[in-house]
Amino acid sequence: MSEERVSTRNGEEVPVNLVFTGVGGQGNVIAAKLAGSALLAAGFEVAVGDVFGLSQRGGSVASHVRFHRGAPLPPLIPPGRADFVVGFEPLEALRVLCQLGGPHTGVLTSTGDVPPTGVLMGTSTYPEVQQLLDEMARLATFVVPFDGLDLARRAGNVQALNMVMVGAATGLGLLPLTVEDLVREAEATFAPKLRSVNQSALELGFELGVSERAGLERGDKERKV
Amino acid sequence: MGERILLMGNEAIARGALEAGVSFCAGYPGNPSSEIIDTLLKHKTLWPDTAWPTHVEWSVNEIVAMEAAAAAAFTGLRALVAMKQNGINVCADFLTTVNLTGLAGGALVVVVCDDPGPLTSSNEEDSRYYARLAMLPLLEPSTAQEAKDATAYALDLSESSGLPVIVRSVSRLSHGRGPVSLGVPSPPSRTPRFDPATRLLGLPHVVTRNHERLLGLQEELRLEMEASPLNAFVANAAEVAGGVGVATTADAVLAEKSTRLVVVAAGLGALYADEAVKEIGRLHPEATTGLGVLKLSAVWPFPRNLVAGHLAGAEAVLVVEQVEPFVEEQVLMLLGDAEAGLPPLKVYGKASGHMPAAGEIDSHDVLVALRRILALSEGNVSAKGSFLSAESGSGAVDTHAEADALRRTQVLEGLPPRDISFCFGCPHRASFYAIKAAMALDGREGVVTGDIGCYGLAAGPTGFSQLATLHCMGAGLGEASGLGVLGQLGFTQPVVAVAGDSTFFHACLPALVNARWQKADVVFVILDNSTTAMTGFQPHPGTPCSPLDPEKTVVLPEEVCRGMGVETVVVDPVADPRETVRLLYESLQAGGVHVVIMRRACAQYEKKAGSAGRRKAMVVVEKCRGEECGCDRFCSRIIACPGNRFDQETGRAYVDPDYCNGCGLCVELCPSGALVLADPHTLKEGR
Repeated sequence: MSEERVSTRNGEEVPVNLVFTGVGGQGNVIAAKLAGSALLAAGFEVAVGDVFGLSQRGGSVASHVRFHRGAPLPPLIPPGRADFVVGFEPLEALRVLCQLGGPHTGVLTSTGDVPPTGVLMGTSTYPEVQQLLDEMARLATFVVPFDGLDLARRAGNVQALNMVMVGAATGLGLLPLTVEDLVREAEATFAPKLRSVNQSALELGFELGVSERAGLERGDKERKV
Repeated sequence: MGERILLMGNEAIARGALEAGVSFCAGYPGNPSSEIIDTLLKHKTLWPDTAWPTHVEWSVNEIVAMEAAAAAAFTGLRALVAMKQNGINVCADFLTTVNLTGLAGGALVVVVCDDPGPLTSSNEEDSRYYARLAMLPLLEPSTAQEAKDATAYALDLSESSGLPVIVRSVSRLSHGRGPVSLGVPSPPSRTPRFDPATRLLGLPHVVTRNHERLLGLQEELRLEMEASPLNAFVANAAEVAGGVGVATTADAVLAEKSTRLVVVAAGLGALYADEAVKEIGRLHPEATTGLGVLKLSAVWPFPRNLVAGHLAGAEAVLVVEQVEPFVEEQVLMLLGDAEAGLPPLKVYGKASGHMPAAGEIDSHDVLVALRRILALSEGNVSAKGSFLSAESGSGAVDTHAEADALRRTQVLEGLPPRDISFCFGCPHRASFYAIKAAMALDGREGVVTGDIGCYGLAAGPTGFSQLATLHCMGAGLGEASGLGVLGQLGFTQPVVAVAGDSTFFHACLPALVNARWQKADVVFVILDNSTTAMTGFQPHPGTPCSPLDPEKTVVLPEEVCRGMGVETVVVDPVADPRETVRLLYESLQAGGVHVVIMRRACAQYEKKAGSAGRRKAMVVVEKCRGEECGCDRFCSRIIACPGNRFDQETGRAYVDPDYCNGCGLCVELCPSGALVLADPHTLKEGR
């Protein structure tokens, strides 16, 4: 999918814009760093936009990953311009889809919900996850939901959800990379004792992405706006 | 040029300093600047090609960091000091005197990272004005590559000019990542030595002479900025920010002659301008004829001839920059100067309302401004003014897209907010619960003053909305010192000031002395979580066994307070919430200055250090009485720890083990005693 998006608009190369979004602490920064490094190694010009600090304290977080073959890119994706939203959490996937997405945007999201503090305190309510997915389907060109936490647990640690999501985004074709590209970057990123969990998470995510891609290509879930 | 790797802007700044042979680095943590010193602390393992002896420190505060780094420069070394925008305010007194004496042979780069549209700050400030105030050179890089190159160049310029050089970054550059080509580092060439003949004195009789000398340097420095390859002009929407040294092509020079609208864009603004201009070029190719972008990264002393040269013949100028109209004011002054010989031209920017006067900017803001200036139809740039996708960009007014945009806005408004809150197991939750409880027992409408840090979140619901004031570091105690003496004027409310442990050393010592000196009635709570948590767990003088240097002397806050003659108690607010409330309450009743140190390590820091316990809280279902208890779902609604949940179906509380660090606060406080700590194996049968 991303291969087709590169260098298409009006003959000039336009960046592919992908957002990793979730809740502070879910590991979006490491996911974006790993994807960005792998894209750079694959020959793309890359910009990653991130914020640390206050916003990481249980708030909504989003890492912007932009790439193309061309000049340096600014780190922020302009509103309406996200091509892909990769959600570590479904409420945040829908939020970013509304903020940065357009009719052309596709969504890949984990379905495991993390209730905001307001929901725990009873000052707001968390919609049914299915409702969130239905709304995403109305707004996006495709939505691929799956239980990322389950794959992360199978890899050995729920904290590896971020690697599951990078793997799945790659398997789905949102990032023009191979699973080997990701594993190579993971080896350079993680301490030896964390490598096998993260590698398994990347591989499990990748396999999931590949099989979902086959479904998308058959037209199972795709919905043209 | 070597390997091209992805670096965070802050890592690139660190690398640039190393490539220029830096050997002394200091700073105080503060987002978005913290990773500069974090990176330099591990430079030898990170980049073996820079494995020369260095001194890198987290100083107690920014002014001490700057003084220490300047002193290294006095001995001939190359030094760096890094801080956020608030930090340069702390340094201002030193900065505006060391500029007069100069550096005596070494080099000092002052890196300041501003936080536009603050993502993690208590103010929105443009540090570039310090360059004007102190008459120091200012560089404002636009990419990670340029951040590295500009930092290295800043050290060269500092050494040749004898002045500190300011490098200004912004959050999106400091925390963003981009490709950087690593250069070959030049190791330090000097052994530090303070020349016995050197005198660096801000004495009145030499100040005016030094001021004149500094003024005299300005012209030479301006010529340096005029010629800097960090500035570049690109006509007709061509690439603008290809890193240092983008040459003006012959085509661009030709096109320049017919430039009607010049976008003058500083720092990261140049990338946003570039993207917006390209977007206009795609949608309205004819509109970009005569549209040029002048990227400014060597900003001060203002390269007036360079700017004037590009404005000659133009009809209008749009200034794109972050936070304040620093460059815009210079452009206006240029136009008002008869010697510049410029014809009247329209200036668009913050003052004209074309660019946002406050908050962060992005490509979209520049696009909107360009569209207004060039009077381009809205339909083709989309109804909402948002960037168009290729798929929907071909039509005229796209009602489908309009409906779609409206739907997005409506959906967004309906989503539950995700407010930032204390992490699971955060000891601040327990501390503010105790403060709330003690204030309620006291019953005199107590006031809690504080400052920035994770505990600033006590302004919100997870801190029981206790915090009444939040300004600069340490301000809570200074304010409390003032409130605490108002009793004689009829003030009857008790005062609790809070500050973190790192903040205590940074900014609270003079205020605590003052409170004692003035006999103020103040209870000062030090929220001691053993680290500088908000900025990424940096050590401070009271950090037990700093992982960086286990040998380092630990300065205990209680010893400091007692040394000042202030009665001081230490309590663990999580393990013993009732005792914490009692100590606070008794201190409030006693009058005078009291310090209560609430000591419990940051839950995230413990997890990172691998010292977190293995036990987790779990609910004994038979003991939880749910809604019938009358506790108003105490564990989830009141304590509001993210791990404490309530199952609507069973009507009972439960704990999500993925969000529990086993601190035991909910176990201690549950009115039905329905929570216990158990090991994860047992927990599997829980809920």
